Amino acid sequence: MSPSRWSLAVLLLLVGHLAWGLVRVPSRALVRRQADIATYRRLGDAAFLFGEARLQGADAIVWLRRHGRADERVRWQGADRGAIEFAAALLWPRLLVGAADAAGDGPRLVSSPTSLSIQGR
Amino acid sequence: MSTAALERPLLAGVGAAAVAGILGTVWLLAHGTVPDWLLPVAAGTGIAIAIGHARRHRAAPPTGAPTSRGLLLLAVALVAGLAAVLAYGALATPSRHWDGAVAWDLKTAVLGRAPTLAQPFFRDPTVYCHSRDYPLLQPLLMALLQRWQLPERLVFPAAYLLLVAAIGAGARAAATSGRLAVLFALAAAVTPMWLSPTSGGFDSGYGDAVLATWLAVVALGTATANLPLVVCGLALAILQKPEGLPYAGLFLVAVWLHGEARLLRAATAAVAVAGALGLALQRDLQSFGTASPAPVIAAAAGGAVVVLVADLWLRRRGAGRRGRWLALLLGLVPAAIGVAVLSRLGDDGGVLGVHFADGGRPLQRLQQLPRIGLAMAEWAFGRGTFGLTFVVPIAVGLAAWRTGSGRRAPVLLAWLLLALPLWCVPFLTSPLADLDQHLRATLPRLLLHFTGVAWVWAASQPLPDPSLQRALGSHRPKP
Repeated sequence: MSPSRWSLAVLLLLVGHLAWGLVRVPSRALVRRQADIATYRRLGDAAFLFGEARLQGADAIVWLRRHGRADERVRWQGADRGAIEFAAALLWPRLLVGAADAAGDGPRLVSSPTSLSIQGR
Repeated sequence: MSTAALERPLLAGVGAAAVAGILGTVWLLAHGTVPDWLLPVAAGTGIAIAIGHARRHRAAPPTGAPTSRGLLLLAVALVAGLAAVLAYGALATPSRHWDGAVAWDLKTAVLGRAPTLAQPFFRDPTVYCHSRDYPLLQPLLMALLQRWQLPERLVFPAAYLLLVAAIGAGARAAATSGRLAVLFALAAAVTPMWLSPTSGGFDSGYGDAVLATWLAVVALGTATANLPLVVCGLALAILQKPEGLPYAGLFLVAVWLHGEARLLRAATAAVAVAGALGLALQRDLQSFGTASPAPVIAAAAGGAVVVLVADLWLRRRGAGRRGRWLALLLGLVPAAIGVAVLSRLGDDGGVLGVHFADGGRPLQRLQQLPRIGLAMAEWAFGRGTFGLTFVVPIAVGLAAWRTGSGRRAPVLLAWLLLALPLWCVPFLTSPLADLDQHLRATLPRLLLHFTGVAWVWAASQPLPDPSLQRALGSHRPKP
C-alpha cells in the first residue's frame, strides 16, 4: 500500500472507532447508567448490590443496621469470600470480627460464598 | 490548542496527586494521622511544579494549521458532556459494583473518618478487612477530599479528563495537525470501556481506570520528554494498584533496552522511591504494623544503584542493544530469587505471595497459554468493549514500518509489547481454579490498564503521507 493509503486506513479506523463509541453512548452510557441508578435508589444499597452480584441475604444487613448500634462489633463465621465482603462494607462503621475471636451470645452473621444469614436474632 | 496548554494543567493535577500520595503514604507508614492540610499543600505544590517546568522549558510554537475554533468547541463540548455523564454516575450513588463497594469505598470511608492506620480496621487481626494489603493511594486521596467537604467521587471524571487530555497532548506534540489531535482525543474519549456503566468503567469506583490514567501520563511524558510527568505517573501507578509495580518495572526494562540515560535515571528514582513506599506499606498492613520498612527500603535503594551503575558501565563500554539484553538476562537471576522468596511466604506475602505460593503451578498451567492468548485477542479485538483501541496502534505501527516514515517513542511500543506476556502471569499463578471465570473477570481490566498507553503511542506517531497531513493542516511551516 502507498503511504497515502496507509494514512487513509488509520484515519478510517479512527473515524470507525469514534462512530462505534458514539453509537453506544445513548444506550449504554446514558440509559443503562440511569436505570442502574434508579434501581439502586429504589431498592437501597444492600438489595441492589446483592441482586447485582446474585447473592442472597441482603435482609440480614438491613436487620443488623436496624437492630444494632453503629459502634458495635458484629460477630461472623463462615466463608471469608463472597457475600461477607459486602457485609463488611455495608455495615461500616460496625466492624466484623470472627466469632471464634469474640465473646458474646448475641446475633451472629453466618456467611457462605453466595449468602448471608443471622443466627440468634 | 497547544501541547503546553494541555500539559500544564495535566502536570499540576498529576503533581498534586503524586505529592499527596507520596507524603500521605509516608505519614501512614510512620503510624501518624495524615493532616488535612496536606491536600491544599499538595495542590499548591502541583501548581508550582507545573509553573516551574513551564518556565524552564519554553514550549515550541504549535506547528501546522491551527484547529478551527468551531471544531475545538465541538470537541470540548463532547468531552465535557461525557465527563458530565461520568460525574453523574459517580455522584448519584456510592459504587454500584463489587470491588468498588466492598474494597475501595469502604477504605475511603475508614480513612475519611480517621486518616491513619492506627485503628482497629487495619490493626486488629480479628477484624474482617478485604484485600488488607492493597495500596491506599485512591482511598486516601478521596478521604482527604471528603474531609474538606468536597465531592470525593469527582476524582473519577477528573481522571477521565486527564486521560483524554494526555492523548490530545500526545497527538498535538507529534507535530501533526490540531485537527488530527482533536480526532485522536475524541476517538479515545468514546472508548466504550471508559464509559461503561458496569464494573471497570471510570465511575464504577474501581482503581483500574485511574491506573490507566497514570500509565497514560507516563506515556505522554515519554513521548514529549517531560520527565516530571514520567516520574509522577510512575509513582502514582505504583501506589494505585499492585499491578502498578510490575508495569513500572516493565517500563524500566523498555527504557533500559533503548538506553535513554535521562529517562532511565528519572524512572529508576521514581520506581525505587514509590516501590519502596508501596511495598513497605503492603508489609505494614499485612503484619498489622509490626514489620519494619527498612529491608524494603534497602532493597529498593540497592536495586536502583545496581541499575544506574550497570547503565553507566555499559555506556562507558559503548555497549549496544545486545549488551543491554545480556545484562537484562543476568538481572533476571535476582528477580527469580525474589519470586522464590515470595513463593516461600505463601499467604503471608499478601496479594503477591498468594500468586506465587505454589512454584509449580505456572508450569502445570503452561498448556493453558493458547486459551489465555485467544481470550486476550477476543477481548481486545472481538467484543467491542475497547472498540478499535488496540487496532489503531497496530495499523499505525504497520504504516510506519511499511512506509519507512519512522516511529517516535519506541520505548512505549516496547512497553506495550512487554505487557502482553505479563498479562498472562495472573492466570498462570492464581489459586483460582476456574480459568474461564478468571479470564472474564480479570482480562478486560488488565487490557483497560494499557488503553491510554496505546492511544498515546498511536497519537504520537507521524502520519506517513505528507499530502494527507497537508489536507489535515499538519504541514510544518518553513522557518
